[in-house]
Amino acid sequence: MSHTSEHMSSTVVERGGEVDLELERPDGHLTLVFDAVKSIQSAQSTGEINGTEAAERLGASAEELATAKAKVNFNERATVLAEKERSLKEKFDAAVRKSLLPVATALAMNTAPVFAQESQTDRLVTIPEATLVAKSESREFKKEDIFDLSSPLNVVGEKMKAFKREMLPEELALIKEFQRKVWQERNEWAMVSGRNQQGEFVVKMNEGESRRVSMPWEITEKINNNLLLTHTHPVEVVGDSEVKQSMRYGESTSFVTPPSSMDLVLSCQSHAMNQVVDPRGVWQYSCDEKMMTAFLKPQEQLKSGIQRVVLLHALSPEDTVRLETAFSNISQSPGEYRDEYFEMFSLRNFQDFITQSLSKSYPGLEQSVASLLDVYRTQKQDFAEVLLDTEHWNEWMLRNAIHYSDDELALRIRNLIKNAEEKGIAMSYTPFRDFPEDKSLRK
Amino acid sequence: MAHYLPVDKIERELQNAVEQFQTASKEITREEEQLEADMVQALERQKMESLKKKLAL
Repeated sequence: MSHTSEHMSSTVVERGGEVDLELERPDGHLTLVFDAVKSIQSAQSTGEINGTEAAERLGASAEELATAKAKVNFNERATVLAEKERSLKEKFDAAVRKSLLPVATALAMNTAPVFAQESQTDRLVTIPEATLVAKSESREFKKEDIFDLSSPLNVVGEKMKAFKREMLPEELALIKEFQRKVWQERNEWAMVSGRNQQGEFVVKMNEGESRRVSMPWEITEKINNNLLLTHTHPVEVVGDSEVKQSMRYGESTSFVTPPSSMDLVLSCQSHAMNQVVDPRGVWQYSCDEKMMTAFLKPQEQLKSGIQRVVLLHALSPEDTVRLETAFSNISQSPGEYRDEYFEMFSLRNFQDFITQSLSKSYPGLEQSVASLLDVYRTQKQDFAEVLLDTEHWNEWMLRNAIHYSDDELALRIRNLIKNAEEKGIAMSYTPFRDFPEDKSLRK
Repeated sequence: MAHYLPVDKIERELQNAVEQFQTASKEITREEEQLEADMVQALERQKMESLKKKLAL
């Protein structure tokens, strides 16, 4: 399914009535559309009624102005006009949000492969191919059609019980489709879906070529505050040879692959509900405030600390720019949390820049920055330990999983979810009702 | 790389929204200008009447 920019063409694409697509375009084009509309929004201005200025021009007193206003019904007319302006702006904003929703989402999707790349360094990770999934009457799936809710493997963590969001039929239909893909394909698939005042939307994507694109999550979040981010853990990618062999030949269906530590970092960044579709079922998870704070606090404190250092050492404007540029190069890559020594190369690069370029001109600067970075490393370590612990639990879960009975597996899933919730990750697991019986479905 | 998105349709809808906004916005501005003109006229008339009264005295 992957393709490159050389293959861009104007093509009407229809796939089984499930997608509603028109043109292929480079992603830069979408960015331009997005930027253009944002600038139109910010450039909006309406005329102001400045009665006081007019009164001053005519040398009128406040009483005279009030009398004149009364004669022309000024206040009533001004109120009507203000209401008209407000409603016009609301209408315009709604139209913009509606149009930008799929654009922003498609752009947002580009962040996913970045994390996948870092979590699976030995495989090719590709750029997403985002498609909007149209609503369809024939796709009215129900949860019970797909999942076995009476299975012992159906485990809902205490924290997860607070989330009441029911999945849309389109979301369920795609999860069903993803289940097949998990068995059949090496590619990871993903879905971004949600609903807001403008309606519901579902975007599915396949990963294409590796590329780093930064997309502010907050834009997507602003447009749609009920996001569900779903991705797959294909057998081919996460299973070892014994697992693959066993599953392809129908000897086992027990293989489960919980969210990885990288998935959890992404969850903290996205502020959304997340799902992993594995061969056996669906993991749902979301970082709670405690986890989110552990993730965000060190970054925020380091940033404000650096700002204080700039003021304290009275850096020249030119050196401030140089320092800020070097600081912006500090990677916030989740991969760095996995380094067992928590030594981050980008932090060391920043420290070297201070030593080599600025320390001579600003005595004490080097020490100030070093102490800030020490605090940062310590704070990051807390979060990293949670992730490493998660990795340990996942490994424990995966080891020999294909040999477990459902009851044995259920016990492990319950323990894993309990542990995750103690760490600040609300979690649940819902097993599929059916499995691909046809071996051809399993490659 | 390419995204499969109906970008032309999106652009058309956005363009329509922008045009509708601009048209309605101009109309509101015109009404606002008219309101201010009415008020200034009322003030001017008031001034004139007050001058006339002073002259009559």
